[in-house]
Amino acid sequence: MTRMASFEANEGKQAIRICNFFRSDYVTLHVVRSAVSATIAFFLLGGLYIYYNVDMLLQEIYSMDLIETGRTLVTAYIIFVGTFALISYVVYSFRYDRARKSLKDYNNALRILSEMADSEHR
Amino acid sequence: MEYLILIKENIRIFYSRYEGYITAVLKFALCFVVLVLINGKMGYMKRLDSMPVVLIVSLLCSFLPANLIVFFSAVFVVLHTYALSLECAVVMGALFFLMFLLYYRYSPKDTPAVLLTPVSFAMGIPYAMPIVYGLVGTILSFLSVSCGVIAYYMVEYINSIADTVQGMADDTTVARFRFVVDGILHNKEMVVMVVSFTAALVVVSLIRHFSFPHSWDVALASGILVDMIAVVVTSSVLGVKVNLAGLFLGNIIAALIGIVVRFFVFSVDYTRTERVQFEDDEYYYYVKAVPKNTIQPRETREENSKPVKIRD
Repeated sequence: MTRMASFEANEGKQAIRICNFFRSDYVTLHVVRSAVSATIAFFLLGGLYIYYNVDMLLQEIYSMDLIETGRTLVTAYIIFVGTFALISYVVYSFRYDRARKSLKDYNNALRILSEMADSEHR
Repeated sequence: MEYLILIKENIRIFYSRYEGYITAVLKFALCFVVLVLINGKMGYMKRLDSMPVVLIVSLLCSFLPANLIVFFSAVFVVLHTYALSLECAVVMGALFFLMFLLYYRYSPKDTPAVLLTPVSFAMGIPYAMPIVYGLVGTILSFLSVSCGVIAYYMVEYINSIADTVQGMADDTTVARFRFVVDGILHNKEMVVMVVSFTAALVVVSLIRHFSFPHSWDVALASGILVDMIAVVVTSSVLGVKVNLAGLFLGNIIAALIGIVVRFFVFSVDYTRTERVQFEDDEYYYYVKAVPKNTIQPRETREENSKPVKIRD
């Protein structure tokens, strides 16, 4: 009972919040959030890279193959965001499954407790 | 041993009785120590480098979520570096922002590790961090510990180049920015620490989850070994000089701290291990139950043994 009360007060709250979602909704929401974070990080890193190499870029901008550079940038962006989206998919799928299992164990314990209470009343 | 277990139980009871107050005091102490360390190391902005400001922010943090201590510490570091030079502040700010964006999503509960890692460096016990967080954290705690290592080395680096940056007043902003970034990217000692701490933490965290007897002790010993090997290998690959005596001594201290942490977090009696098997509607359970080492303190025993008064 102590463990059940502790679960209700601590990790149970989060588990209930997670399990209010369908698995696909929960995971997708977090993958999208991670993709947005990764996009901001990518542009921040890009900005720092441009500022670091500003002299070289200004010299070479006219001789640069802009289409090829654009293609490289898009590939780098897809790899960067894709990696974070994949990590998020794995992490949040695991978290959802763990929350669901802990809630299931908690419900089983509640059922056993309720049966014990019923048998005492009889 | 019984006496130690009794002390542990008393601490546990005391903590559970005054949890709210103790947590607030601990948050205050952590924030205070971190801000004093930052001010002591940097202290370029005189307005921030004052005890009343540190006390006010620490008091504020004592009842705010623990994650905000990291935020305020980052703000202090960025403001100090801003007072030194705008370029340093931009690099520091960008790095903290990237940390928050990329790591915070995965392990928000481990934020104390970001603060405790630089504190452990300042106290001369950095090798304790991967061992302790391997024992009490999750495998993803390596992100927080690595961020702490990076933050520490960034502050150290900015501190070491402060005079040079101030002397570069005639250079362009881009040149100063490039100088700061180059120094951070070529900080090989930081890379050695990040790699070795990550390896040690992952090994400790993986092994301690096994159910074989004394898995926590094996995890601790393996973590120490992996840490030492990783430091030696990565430093020789990157050409960094390493103080072997310091490494050995640091890891011995880390092992001792790990033993204390293990005693408080996971103290079991393997001689009384039981194996039970049962089933419910959906599963068969094959359970290995290892009893915890516990002793009921005398006060609690007496309270429990008091006869219950029944009113007529």
